[in-house]
Amino acid sequence: MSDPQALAEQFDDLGQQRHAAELGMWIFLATEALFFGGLLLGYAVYRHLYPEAWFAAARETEILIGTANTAILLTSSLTMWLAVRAGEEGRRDAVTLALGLTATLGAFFLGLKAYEYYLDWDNSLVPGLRFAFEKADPEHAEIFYYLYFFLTGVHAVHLTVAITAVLVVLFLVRTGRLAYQQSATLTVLGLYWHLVDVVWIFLYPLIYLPGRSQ
Amino acid sequence: MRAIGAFHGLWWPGILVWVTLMALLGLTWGLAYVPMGVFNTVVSMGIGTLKALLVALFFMHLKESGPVLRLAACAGLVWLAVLFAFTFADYLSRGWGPG
Repeated sequence: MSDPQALAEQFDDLGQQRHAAELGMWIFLATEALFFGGLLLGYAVYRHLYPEAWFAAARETEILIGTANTAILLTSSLTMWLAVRAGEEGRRDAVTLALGLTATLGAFFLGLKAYEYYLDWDNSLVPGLRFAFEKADPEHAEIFYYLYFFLTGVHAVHLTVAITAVLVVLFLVRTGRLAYQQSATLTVLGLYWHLVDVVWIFLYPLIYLPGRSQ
Repeated sequence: MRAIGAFHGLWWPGILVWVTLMALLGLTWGLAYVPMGVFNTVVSMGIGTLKALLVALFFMHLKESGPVLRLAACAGLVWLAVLFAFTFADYLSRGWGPG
């Protein structure tokens, strides 16, 4: 049966409402793919033009932090998925615990990322402000680091938005103000969270792995 | 562990997907140090695509989604492919021809 609290008046039933919400989110995610795609295209073109500078620059990235952060985000996708599963079964405690874990893992990621930026500054790898590269082709290595900061920076902004959204939904579920079992809120929130994870899944081999075997 | 108890009966199949994702991460990290020439890029991007596919199919529920959602999910990638194809049609063909 439809829960009047969960069903907005423009929809016939909850199924239709859920489908509309999920479709809307997927269309938004498609625009996000193109948003990051522009930067990735820039990355691909310059890597094609200056492969030696690219490998030398990528070798100087903090691969331990990058790998740890990838593991953290992959794990946060599991806890986000658990929140959606728990929501379908109406298990409020499990939903709030899973959302809390998800937001915490996201915060850990941002903390490590901030420390990584600090190390990059220390190693003079910040283009425009403090850049001194002694390996091959510093001029074009600088382009790699421009793209590194734009890609990871924009990704961090997305993750900050996602953490905020998770905390808002956590608050609403905890205080009983969201019909989380009937509405698509958790599912749609999860889709956005997983997109942020998927973007990072591609950033990891593009930023941290090139040139390691040389 | 209270956390384990709170999620009783919810883990499957997510935990298996997570274990696979972590194994793939370890694999791609290790293989990055093995000299394979151009195949280093092929392998790292291949494993990345596989990981993204696992997240999309299981965590983002595309495996159970209807055709409309799947089309919307693929639409962005189709236009991205057009963007890359036309740009590289330019860059890869520069310097051809006489002189």
